[in-house]
Amino acid sequence: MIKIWKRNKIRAADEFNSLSLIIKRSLTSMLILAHLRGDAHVVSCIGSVQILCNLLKNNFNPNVDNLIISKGHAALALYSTLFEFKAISKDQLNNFRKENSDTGIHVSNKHGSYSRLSTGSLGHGIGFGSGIALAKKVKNLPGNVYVLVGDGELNEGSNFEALQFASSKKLDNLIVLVDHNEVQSVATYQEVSSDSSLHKKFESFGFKSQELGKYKNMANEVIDVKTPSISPKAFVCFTSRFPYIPSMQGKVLWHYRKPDMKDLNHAFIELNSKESAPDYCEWLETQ
Amino acid sequence: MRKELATFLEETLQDSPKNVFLTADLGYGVFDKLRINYPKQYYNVGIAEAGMVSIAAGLSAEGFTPYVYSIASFLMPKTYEQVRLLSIQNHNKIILVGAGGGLSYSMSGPSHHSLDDLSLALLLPNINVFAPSGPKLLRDALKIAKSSFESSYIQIGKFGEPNYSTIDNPDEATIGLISTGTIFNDVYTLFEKLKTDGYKIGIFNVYSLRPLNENGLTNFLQNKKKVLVIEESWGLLSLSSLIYRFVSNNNIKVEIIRIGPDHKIFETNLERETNLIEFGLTYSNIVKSMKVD
Repeated sequence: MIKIWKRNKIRAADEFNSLSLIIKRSLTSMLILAHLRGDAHVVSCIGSVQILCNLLKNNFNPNVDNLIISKGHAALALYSTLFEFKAISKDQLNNFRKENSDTGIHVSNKHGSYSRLSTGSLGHGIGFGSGIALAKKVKNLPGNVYVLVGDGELNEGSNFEALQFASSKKLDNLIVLVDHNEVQSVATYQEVSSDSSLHKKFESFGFKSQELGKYKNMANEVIDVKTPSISPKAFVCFTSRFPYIPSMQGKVLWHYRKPDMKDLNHAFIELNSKESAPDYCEWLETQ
Repeated sequence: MRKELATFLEETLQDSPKNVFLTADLGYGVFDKLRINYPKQYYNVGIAEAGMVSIAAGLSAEGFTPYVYSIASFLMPKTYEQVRLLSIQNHNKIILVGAGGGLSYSMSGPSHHSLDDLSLALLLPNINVFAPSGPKLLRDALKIAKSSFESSYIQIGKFGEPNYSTIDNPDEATIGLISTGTIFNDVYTLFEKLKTDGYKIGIFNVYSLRPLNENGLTNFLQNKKKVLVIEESWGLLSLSSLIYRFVSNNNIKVEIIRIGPDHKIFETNLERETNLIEFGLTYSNIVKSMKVD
């Protein structure tokens, strides 16, 4: 059973957190496009938006860092976040799932350092990221390589080939961000992948691992990449716990389902979208 | 051929620090000089072929030219998706070298038979595919692979392969032998015997399956009534199918006979030579197949 906290207790304090606001705005635009176009993998995006907003606000420097969205089906999470950080245009965001756009259902490598790899097939990001991280080490270049993976995606054995390599080569510039949203494609994470700790798995592979979001809003968490370490790092982010959209978080149904207007209105109330993202709500009305 | 590969790689790693070599914990004793002399360009990624290709793609994305090495039966079959997604679809050039192609490891059992690696590579677009039969052709293939903008798959043999002529095509020859890879050497031995015995035949080595030497092939096929295509692959997408398609597309009137392994698993532990005899690479079968109706 996935724990989602009681919303009312934490809501008031949360409203004033600017990162929380950015997350809500990104989630609102994500939901609108999911409603208009479909194929968004909503529940996957809800978790990834929280991680990506935190990363882009606090850590990511596009001039030296690299980001790989290994869970390529969370592409809309990337686009809605990039739009919030002015890294893509409104047209690009609005072109989600349109023919010939660079913002397709699965993420493409057409967004510079924000997306170094076209993905969609799972289990490739950590290995590819290890190669980039190794290259940076050899060339003595600054910056980190961030790889966003899904918890279900970690079923793929290829990840563990890469973890062994990254650990043995001490790639301390490799940062794995796990969207631990606790749901997979057709069942919960616990049902498919057991309730063994991802944090301990990463630690056992020689990563410096930390759990985030388990007891705090992801907006209040620090993805601490600055503390020196000789190991690659993993952040296991519990993204279904803090109630951004509790009607959807932790629900397997929302992996594939396209939200209708009723779903959207309900989610907007949960997100307080009319206050946090009135411009997006107005934009939706013109569609 | 592995010795030549090691020599080439040593030169290449010396050429530029951006040339790197990755092995999936294989090549014992063969690549010691690379490991000792170029520790920042030699990576043993462990027994993790798929991981090796993923890491190589990341290095390639950062401007390195990675050469990845494993046994042929493990390389393309285990990394097909990594090659397709990370190298081909994401345009990251990698040079893959699979050793012990065909039935080189016949006695090691079916897990080590590599009758599909060339087919898997050919199935993908935007990748060069080579099966050199000897050290000289291997070096040619490696040079092309190095200068190409695209990825390459190179199937090689083991040790001690000769450098036979790649073409021998007397004017009066109306029968031709076409082959690729290590088995070309076996075909060439038979070819020399046939020639000594007075048969008017030619021989052509298609060591580059993609790009195909179309001019060379067209010239070779002129005046041929019959061509025997001899391969050490299953034959669904391989040398024989390339020749069938080439002949068909160019309206060349020539009869083609394929000699190669059936599309089946070789369950029993037989020496490679025994298997070759079983699928018809014998003097008498070649003579029989050469007969024109």
